[in-house]
This record gives sequence, C-alpha cells and structure tokens, in this order.
Amino acid sequence: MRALRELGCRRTLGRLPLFVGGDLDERVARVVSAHLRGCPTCRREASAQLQAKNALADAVAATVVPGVDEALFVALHERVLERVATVEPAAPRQWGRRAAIAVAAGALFGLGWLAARPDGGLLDRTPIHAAGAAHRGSDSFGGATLQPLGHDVVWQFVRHAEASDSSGLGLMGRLMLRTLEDDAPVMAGDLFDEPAVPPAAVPPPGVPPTDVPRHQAQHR
Amino acid sequence: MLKRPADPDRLPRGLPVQVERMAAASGVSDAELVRETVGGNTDAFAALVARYQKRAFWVAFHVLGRVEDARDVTQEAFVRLFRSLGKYDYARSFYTWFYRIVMNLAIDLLRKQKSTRATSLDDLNGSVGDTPADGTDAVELAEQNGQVWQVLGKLDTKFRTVLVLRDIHGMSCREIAPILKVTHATVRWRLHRGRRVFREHWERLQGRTEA
Repeated sequence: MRALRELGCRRTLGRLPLFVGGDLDERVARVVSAHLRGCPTCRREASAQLQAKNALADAVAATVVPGVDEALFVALHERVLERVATVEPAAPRQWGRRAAIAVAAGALFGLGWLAARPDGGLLDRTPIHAAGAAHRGSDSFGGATLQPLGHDVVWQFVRHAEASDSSGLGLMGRLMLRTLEDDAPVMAGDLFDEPAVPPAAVPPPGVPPTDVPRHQAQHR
Repeated sequence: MLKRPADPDRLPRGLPVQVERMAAASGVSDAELVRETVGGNTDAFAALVARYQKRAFWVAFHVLGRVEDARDVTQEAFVRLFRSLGKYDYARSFYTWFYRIVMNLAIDLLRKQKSTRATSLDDLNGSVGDTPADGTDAVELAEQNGQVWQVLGKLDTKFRTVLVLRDIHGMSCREIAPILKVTHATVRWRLHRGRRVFREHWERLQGRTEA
C-alpha cells in the first residue's frame, strides 16, 4: 500500500466526520492531524464538525425523559416474564431434522446426476427409430433415427436425412437453399459434405454462347 | 462513559435474590445463562432480562424517540429472544444477537411510523434538561437539546441507527456491523454521511433560531 504522507484540504475535509469520532485508522488520523495543525480553514471545519457530534452526546446526557424511572424498568421486567410464561419454551436446535433434510437433498442430487450422465445411466439413451424421416434419394419413411437430447452426434440425423429434390418431404431433411439466379436447390448434404457445384449456364434465346460470362461458361 | 438518566448497567430493583445474584455475577456469562434457560431454568432468563433490559430500552428509545414504543419493542424483543434461544450459536456474541433483534423491531416500527407520524422523538422535544454547572439557563439548554432530537428525528433511518449506536451508545463500527447486518465499510460510510447530514441540519436549525 502506498504510504499516506500528506493530504490536501479537499481530502482532509472528506475525512473529518470520521476523524472527529476517532473512527479513522491511526495512520490516516496522524496525517489528518498534521494537516490540521498547519491549515486554519480545515481546523475551523473540524471544530464545527466536532461541535455537532458533541451536541448529540451532550443532549443525550442532559435530557431527562419524562416517565422513565426505576418503576418503569421493574414493571417491564415483570411484564416480560409474564409474557414469556405463556410462550413455548425455547427448544434446542433441531439437528436431526436438518440432517434428514440434508441427506434427502443429497440423495436427490445423486439420482439426478445418475440420470443425466451421457454414457448410460438410468435413462434409456438408445437411438429412437422414427417414422416420417426421409432418406437420401427415396421418399420412403422409416429407418431413420432420432438422436436423444444431449447425444454427442447432433448433426448425424441431418446428414443422413437428406431428401431428394423432388420429394418435398421432411423437416430437417427438406433443408434446401435456393440460389437467386437459377432457383437450383442446394441440398442439406451439400452444406456438410462438399461445396455446391454451380449449375451450367444456359444462354437466353438469341444470345450466342460466347457472350455467356466466363465463370458460367466453364461449367458448360 | 456517557451519563444517562438511568444507568443502563444497573439492575432493576426488587428482583428475587437468586435472579439478582445470577444477573450480577460477572463470572456467569451470557452464554451460560442461555444454556441454563434452554435447560428449563426460568431464573436464568430473568437474569438475562435484568442484564439487558435497560440497554435494550435506551437503544430502542434513542431510535424511536417515544417511551411507549421503546417499552413495547423491548418487551417484544425479549419474547422473540426467548422463542429463539434454542437457535443461539454459542460461538457468537449474545449481545450482538440480542441487539439485532431489538434494532430490527425498532427499525420496523420506525418505518411504519414514518408514514403516519410527521414528527419523531416526541418525548424528547421540549423536555427539561439538568442545569449545568456553568450556570447556563436550563430553558436554553433544553431548547438546544430539543433541537438535537429534532435533527436526529429528521435523519434517514439508516443514518440514525448508526449514529445512535456509535455516538450515543459508544459501540465500535465492528460491533455495529453484525447488529445491522451490513459490512464494516457500510457502517463507516453511514457514519460519515450521517454525521455530515446531522451537522448540516443542526447548523441550519441553529442559524434559524439565532436569526
């Protein structure tokens, strides 16, 4: 920690409310004192702050509160004991019940952990055969598998369940992207296996093939 | 040590002999009295009440400012204490725990009253002070004291509680922190701010009176 050697007026003034009550740590209080010795402005402020603090203590010391005397405390003592006599006695801390709750919570946590383990556990995590899933190149249903939640191979289903462009089937298997130029479908498998091949360019009627842009012509 | 109208450390009169002996015995700790009470000894609880009722009353009074409220809060605090003695953690300070009960009840009541009562510390405003040794007019002093209570009543609850515990009851910031269930730094900040706000209000009020 950096040693506090001296303080400016602003920082001293900020510390005065704690300084007058002796609530600063000794090292800081010494530095504040040193500043006050050489700064009449801050000294005046400190004096005013101390006066306000003492006013509170003096007022408490000098104030006689009407109605507060020994009789009040005797009556208070009696009344407390009377009330307490009708109250349930203090029971020792119920460690047994707390321990039972802790054991039950632990058991629940353990069961939850066993059930949620990815490699087996209490829940059946074998793949589920699902009807309605499409296979590559066929419109037939069945045979595809859905992976249970949390299974490692998330995209497997998508990769295998690629639908033919004419099938119009599927959910994930019907994942098709169409280019704006030629409306040629890009299959879901293309997204994962190999880049899509641009379709061959067909010149519009009346346009010679040589005028077709080079990048389209090379696919012809 | 502050002089108070009734010395909080003095036991109330008229206690049964065994209760008075138990309460006054410095060798019998608060924790032992709690243990005895939990074991079914009602005299031990009476001794605890005798030890702490004045301190509890004055803390509640300085926060609330009304004798009736302070008395009710003190009474309720002891009943709650009795109900929960079984949960007492013997490793911790008894008085911190008890003061927390008192302060919680006092603060709750104060917050309820703030909305319904415009002024606070009613019993202290305008009360008559002792004539000081230097011969200052008693009426003038009473007026000054009234101003102090008036200012204290204007302070926000969080500043007021810290000022009462620190500047009136002489507790350290480290002792106050667990009672109010805040950090030590928070207590210091509230004390800093509270003293500053108190001074501002007090000086304003004095300036108005002198003018």
